[in-house]
Amino acid sequence: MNILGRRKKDEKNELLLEIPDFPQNTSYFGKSMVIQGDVTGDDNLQMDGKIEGSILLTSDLHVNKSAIINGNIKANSITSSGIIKGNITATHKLSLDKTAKVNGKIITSSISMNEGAIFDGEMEMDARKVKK
Amino acid sequence: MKKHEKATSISLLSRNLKIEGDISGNENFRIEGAIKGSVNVSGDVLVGETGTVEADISGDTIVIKGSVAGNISAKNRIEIYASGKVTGDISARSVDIQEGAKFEGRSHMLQSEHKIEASATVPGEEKK
Repeated sequence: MNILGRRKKDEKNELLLEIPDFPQNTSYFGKSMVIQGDVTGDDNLQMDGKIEGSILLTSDLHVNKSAIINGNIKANSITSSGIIKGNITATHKLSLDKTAKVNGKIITSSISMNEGAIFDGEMEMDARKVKK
Repeated sequence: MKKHEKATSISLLSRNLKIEGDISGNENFRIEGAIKGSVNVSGDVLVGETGTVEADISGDTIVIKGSVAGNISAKNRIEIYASGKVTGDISARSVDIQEGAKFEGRSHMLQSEHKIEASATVPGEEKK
């Protein structure tokens, strides 16, 4: 009945319904996505895109190489290969890859930085300040 | 639905995440979580069953299985599945509303120069 012939009642809407590579509890924003606003929640987030606003997660955050985050971040475990301008609170741990750039204050109880990463700001590692 | 060059590029807002703000991009976008603000992508949009969107949505083909409070504007088509609920105006070249879907708002069908889809168009229902 459909002129395009491809979409039947339960047939997966091809491009839209299949998210092959990502586990259920992970969000993903591609390179061209721009979010102007705040992201909150309990799922993991993989970012290739750009966020102007804050991120507040109880779960993990992966900032990929093309990502740019302009705002404060709080998450459980955070890894970054991208650009973050804002304060970062990683309640579990923070890991910066060689292409990572951070401009802001970091509060975490565990940090690892690869050679090449750029960090400009203040670091606080007082475990008491990091709520689990 | 034509294949986009970026057909394999899908962004996903999963169920337990919420975004308050404006989202735009050159991606297909699947929404399982909550959005308050606006969604303006040049790709297809799927609002999944758990998706709750308080925002205007614009995209290419827009499929609604969850709940949308806002105006929906598709360059191509809008499909509202039985589990879908739309409060707001819709505008597309063609509209497909399944039995059981809830739709309250105005429907505006765009004219297609090529008239390719004209014969299969299912007009949207208008309620008060």
